[in-house]
Amino acid sequence: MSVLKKGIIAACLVFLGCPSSLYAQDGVDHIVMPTINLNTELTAQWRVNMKVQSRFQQRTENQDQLEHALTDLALIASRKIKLSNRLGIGAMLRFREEQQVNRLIQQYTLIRQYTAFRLSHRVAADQTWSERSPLEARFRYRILAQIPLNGHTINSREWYAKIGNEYLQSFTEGSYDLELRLSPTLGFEITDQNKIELGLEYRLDSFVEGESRNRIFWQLIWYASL
Amino acid sequence: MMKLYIPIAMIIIGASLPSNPVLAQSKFEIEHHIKAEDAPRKAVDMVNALPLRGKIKWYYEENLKGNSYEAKNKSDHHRYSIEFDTLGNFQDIEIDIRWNRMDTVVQSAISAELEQRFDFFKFRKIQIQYQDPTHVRDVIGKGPVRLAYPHRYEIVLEGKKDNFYQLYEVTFDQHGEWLKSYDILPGNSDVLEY
Repeated sequence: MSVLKKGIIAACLVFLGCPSSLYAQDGVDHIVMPTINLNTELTAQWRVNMKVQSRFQQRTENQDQLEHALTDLALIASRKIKLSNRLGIGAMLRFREEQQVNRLIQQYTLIRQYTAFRLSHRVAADQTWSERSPLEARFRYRILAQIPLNGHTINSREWYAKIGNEYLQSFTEGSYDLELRLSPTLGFEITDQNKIELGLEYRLDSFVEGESRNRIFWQLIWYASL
Repeated sequence: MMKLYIPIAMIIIGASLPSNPVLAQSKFEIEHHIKAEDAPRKAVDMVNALPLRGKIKWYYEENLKGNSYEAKNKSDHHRYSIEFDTLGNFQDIEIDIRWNRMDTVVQSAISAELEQRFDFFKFRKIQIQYQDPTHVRDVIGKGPVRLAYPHRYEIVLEGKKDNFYQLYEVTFDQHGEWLKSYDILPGNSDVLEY
């Protein structure tokens, strides 16, 4: 079976393998989230990541149509600590209607190479505030595996699978929330500097206090190294 | 207002990002999984004649040392890599081993050499390598690694030099004498970090 056929089948599994109930409108918000992720190495130690991400959600009055919900602009500078550990700091601006939300980000990433896949651990903290909202502090941990679908390493014009699981603890003015995220993704490496990913991220939150919120983010991401 | 912010920010940040020639050559080894029938007949016949259990996977490799075919197999608690040139001629067989399975005299020689060359090092993978095709049948199978046959050690390690960490592939002879080393260029890991 050709690599292309394998990739197409895997793409279908990502989207069609989900329980059919996810496509129904009962209790699950569907959000389309295209992302551009640009990276560059400033020196051998320092790297800069810039991300532009938008969200399009179903219109309240007509759920067959999407409308722009918000756009995030994020910039993170990270320094290599050891061979595969990086420490990063950055900021994000979120534009939602006429409101601007600000976020500071700190993160530590560790990547491990195994025989047939790579695994990344990310521990991060962020602080978010705006004119209308109080300060929210979040602590998060994400584990993410990248699995080549052809051989033991990922080369140009090859597909890969990515699966991630993240836990976010959120503190706002004495209230606490926990968010769980699960993200199966299919990626295609065009070149070592360009990758396209298609997948979804399931997010569950607000279940600690009150009624839980279920959201599915349909993602299309372009990673480019400049 | 938002419509203005995005293109302006992208232009400013995009213009400030320098192009990076290092990333353009960041692939050390390109490995393609292939079918056995796509490998040279001579190589496949040799591997099929070996007493290996389990599945044999074939790869075509492009690396800085030249192109090659490689058969990989895991059996009898050993992981084997048998390498051939593009015509199917045997190059070497490598078997993963643990540091504590090596001769202590060789361990000392290798440690002393690495301590001289690196501020810090940590082993990622150690392989014993045999290059004589007549010994292949004798060095595979159950039991400890065969140190009686001429061999080398190929070690992938994380090394620190001048406050900079990098992966290296270093080769020692069977007495622990340094032979050569390659820098392993890091693969792009952006999709795992952000």
